[in-house]
Amino acid sequence: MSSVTSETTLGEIIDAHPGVLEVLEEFGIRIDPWTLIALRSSLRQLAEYSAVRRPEELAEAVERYVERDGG
Amino acid sequence: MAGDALKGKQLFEQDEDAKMVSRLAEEVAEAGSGGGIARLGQRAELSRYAAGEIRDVEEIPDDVYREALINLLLQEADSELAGAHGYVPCITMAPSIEEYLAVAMMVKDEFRHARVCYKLLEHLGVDVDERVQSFDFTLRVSDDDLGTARAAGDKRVNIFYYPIRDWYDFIAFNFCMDRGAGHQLEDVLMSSYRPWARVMEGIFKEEMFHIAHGDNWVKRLAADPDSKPKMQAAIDKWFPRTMNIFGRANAPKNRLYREIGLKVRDNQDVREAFAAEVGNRLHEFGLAMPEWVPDWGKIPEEAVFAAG
Repeated sequence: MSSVTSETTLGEIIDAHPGVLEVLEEFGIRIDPWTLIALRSSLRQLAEYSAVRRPEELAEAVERYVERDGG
Repeated sequence: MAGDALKGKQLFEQDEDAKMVSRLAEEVAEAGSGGGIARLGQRAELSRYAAGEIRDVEEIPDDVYREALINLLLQEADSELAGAHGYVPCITMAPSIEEYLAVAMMVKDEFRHARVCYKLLEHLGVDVDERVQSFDFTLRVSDDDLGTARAAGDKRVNIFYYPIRDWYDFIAFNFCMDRGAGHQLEDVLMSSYRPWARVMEGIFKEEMFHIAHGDNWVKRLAADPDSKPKMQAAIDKWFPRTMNIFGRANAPKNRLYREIGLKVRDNQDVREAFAAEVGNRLHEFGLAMPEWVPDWGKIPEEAVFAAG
């Protein structure tokens, strides 16, 4: 990844350097594991991890929402 | 009184589950030797399970597979739920506000694990709400050795009936049981029932955070001469209990589960992998490996799936 600045988002850094969580904890910043996992999962993975029986329905529902929302 | 709670309740043997699974194992063996094929199908069908082709409840071909799967999922779901409740009091045992947060997040994780396991059971037709209301998942008993017994009618692994009494207890439980569960649940990642395997992939990722938490704290408490003896004592208490969760070597039920692809390894292989890793960590942290003398009569035949 390109150089880190104070404006770089955490997601970008974690994707490239997951061990950075230890640095965050030194500053008292604790990231909820599931939130981290969910945000870095595809919709199919997220559905499967959540025991959604028909994962494709989640993607379809999200797609419909995005269309309604003007995406 | 915790001990009185146990005396007042009927003790349920974990091996009650074993009776059902033993029956299934006999049926599978019978099918494999040419009998009972009408009910169970051919060996080729069993190989199909092991190949990991069961992608939905509608593809479950017979009652053998369904019953074994429900049995294992109930064990895991009940253990996750009991584990979450068991961790709740640990939030206030924590030594700092930062650790209140860390333990609270672990509690939340365990409730999530329970929720997704119960969702899989709902797909299989289990009335989960009724089940959750039927049992007291907050129940804890005393430190008296339970042997193979359960202290109630739920299907949690019985280590979850023992109380966690202080921060050292919590860290030792976290260090031993989360790691033990991780070793057990590795097999599920390769389960023939793919919805469970996929759920487990998510759980497994969270459990890695829990294991790291336990390791960091054991290292920290072992490094301080004042806290080291207490940490050692807590490890001495929880390590043998964890060693007892893996079931007996060469158990018929384990063979059944391997036949139908719900498990991969023998119980003893999983136990040894766990013990080796604990030994390495304790050596690294300057702690002694507790002695574990197996009393096979007190170890349930069946290894109970349970994430800590």
